[in-house]
Amino acid sequence: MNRNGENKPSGSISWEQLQEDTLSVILKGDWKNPPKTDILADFLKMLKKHFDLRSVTINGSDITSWDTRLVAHLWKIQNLAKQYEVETVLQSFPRGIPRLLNLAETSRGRESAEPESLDETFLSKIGEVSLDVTTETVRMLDFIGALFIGLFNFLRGKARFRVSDVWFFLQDSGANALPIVSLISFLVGVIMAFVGAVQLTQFGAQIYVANLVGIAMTREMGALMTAIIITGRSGAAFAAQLGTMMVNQEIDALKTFGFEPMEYLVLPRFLALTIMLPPLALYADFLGIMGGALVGWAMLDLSFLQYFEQTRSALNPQHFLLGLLKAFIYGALVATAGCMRGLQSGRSASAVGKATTSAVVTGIVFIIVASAVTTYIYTVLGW
Amino acid sequence: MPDQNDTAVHVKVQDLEMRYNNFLIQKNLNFEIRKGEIFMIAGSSGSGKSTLLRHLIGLMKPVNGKIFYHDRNLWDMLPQEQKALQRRMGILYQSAALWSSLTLGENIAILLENFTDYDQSEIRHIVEFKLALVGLAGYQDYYPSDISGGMRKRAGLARAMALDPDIFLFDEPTAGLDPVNSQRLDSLIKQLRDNLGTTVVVVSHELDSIFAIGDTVIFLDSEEKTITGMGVPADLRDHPPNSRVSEFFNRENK
Repeated sequence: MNRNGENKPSGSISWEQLQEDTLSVILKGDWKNPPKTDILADFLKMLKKHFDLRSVTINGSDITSWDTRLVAHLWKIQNLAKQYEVETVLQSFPRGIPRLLNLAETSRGRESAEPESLDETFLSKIGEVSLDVTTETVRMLDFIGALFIGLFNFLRGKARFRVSDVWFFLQDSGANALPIVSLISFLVGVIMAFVGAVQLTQFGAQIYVANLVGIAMTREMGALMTAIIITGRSGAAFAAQLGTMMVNQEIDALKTFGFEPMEYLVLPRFLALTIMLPPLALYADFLGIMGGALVGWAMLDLSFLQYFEQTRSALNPQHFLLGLLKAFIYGALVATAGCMRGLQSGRSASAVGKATTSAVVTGIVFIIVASAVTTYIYTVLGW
Repeated sequence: MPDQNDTAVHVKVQDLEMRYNNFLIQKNLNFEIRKGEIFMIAGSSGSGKSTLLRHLIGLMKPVNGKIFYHDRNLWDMLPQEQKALQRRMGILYQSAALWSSLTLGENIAILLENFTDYDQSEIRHIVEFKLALVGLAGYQDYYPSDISGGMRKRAGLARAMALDPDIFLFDEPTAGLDPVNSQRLDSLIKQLRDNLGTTVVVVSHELDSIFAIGDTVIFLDSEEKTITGMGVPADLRDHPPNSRVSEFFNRENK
């Protein structure tokens, strides 16, 4: 039966021991439709059963049609026979088959072409992971060190980069991000107001929704949400750009012509994000407060004037400044994560994909850790 | 070819051993590249030709052995000396490696702006001239993504020429080009050498190129993992030292 379930005469194979040391194999019929037996396993059984087997004759005079599956089987049989020091003779096969076998034999690759694989034990995995962590840390420190040298050169006015690149990235990661930042921060304001409203209404304190949204947006959420959006937008883009440049050898070309990738590629991106994130965060703060005001007006019967007056009394410049300081730090971290992963990318398309994913993950981890640390410091300092 | 110091050694490689992730690629490499010659690095794919070029450029550090430029070991130099040396190399990468965010003109101009004190109009003239040399006159405002692969290779060559280097290093310059274009590129390389006297190192497995422009060729043997053939291309073809060299140089050449 073939794959479609129709009955069709299939190819057949018969094994016949002629003498103590010779085996005769006869293949017949339509070998595009081979029998459902594991030929190689059968052959191995024969080899194991008859120690004194010295030669195998395979006759194919009655084969009506065939494809490369048959040739692959024969090739495996030949190789297996060779291992057992048994000679194989092919008799009256359609002439394409011996030719293909010959081709596979003469152009076979290196014997040890397969990469060495070690047994993966639990201990070896632990060892590998700890080695990975070490190299990863070293590479990260390496990058950060080089980045500081680049920044130092920039401050001395000796860095080699194109100022037009800075303008480009300012626009690309700043102005062009406004729509998405607007949407997300407005909705974050709405969500926080909703959550706060339900709780505060129980105490008749719904007016304090304005305080909640205002303080949370300016101190934390404005900068945090903006940073996460920019990680997904610009951090990922940086990693993909630099990774692709790596694949195209553009970075090699930069190095050999005497441009420092850290200055020429990383510096403009780093400057753009550190400059752009604080204003974006400030913008997000206002949008979030507007989202809160909408909920206050629609759900809590507060007028916009009341809401904004309450917000104004709750906030002072310090709240904004603390948020902007965070945004500045996030900007530096997102740019670092994106550029670092891009420059560490391997030289293949899949490596660029990995670098991009890794840039986003690293960026978000950096941001959240930095957020926790700065919040703790602010609290300890009583800011 | 300008003949002062005709036989002076430009690059000398001594006992070079190359590994990639601990996997041995080639060992015991010993050869000299004379000033002003076209030196071909041949071998089958995977034999380490491009890796050898990356070592010659200084992008990879050898596991063992030394690479001398005018009697100075590349890896005994201070980083800034190494950089200065690299800036005197004209490199054409396999993928051309043009900076994709810059136009062809900017790709060349940025080098002149950063590493020479020429004024803007002079730079513009040089850019136009170098592009014209490779048959790309008038293309200075195109981006690398706007032009064909062959044109990109030639633009890469124009960029390699930007700072009038002492030595050209080309990685498979004609790979992936049609026969007409690759012949054109070959004769361009030869003319550059003939007219400027620059040393040229070319990685190639194309017999046409090797026989057309090569003064000396080395054959990197992927089985022996070292050089098994060195000399004038036609000599190697006619008197191959082993079967793999013979197979390589005498394969049917259509």
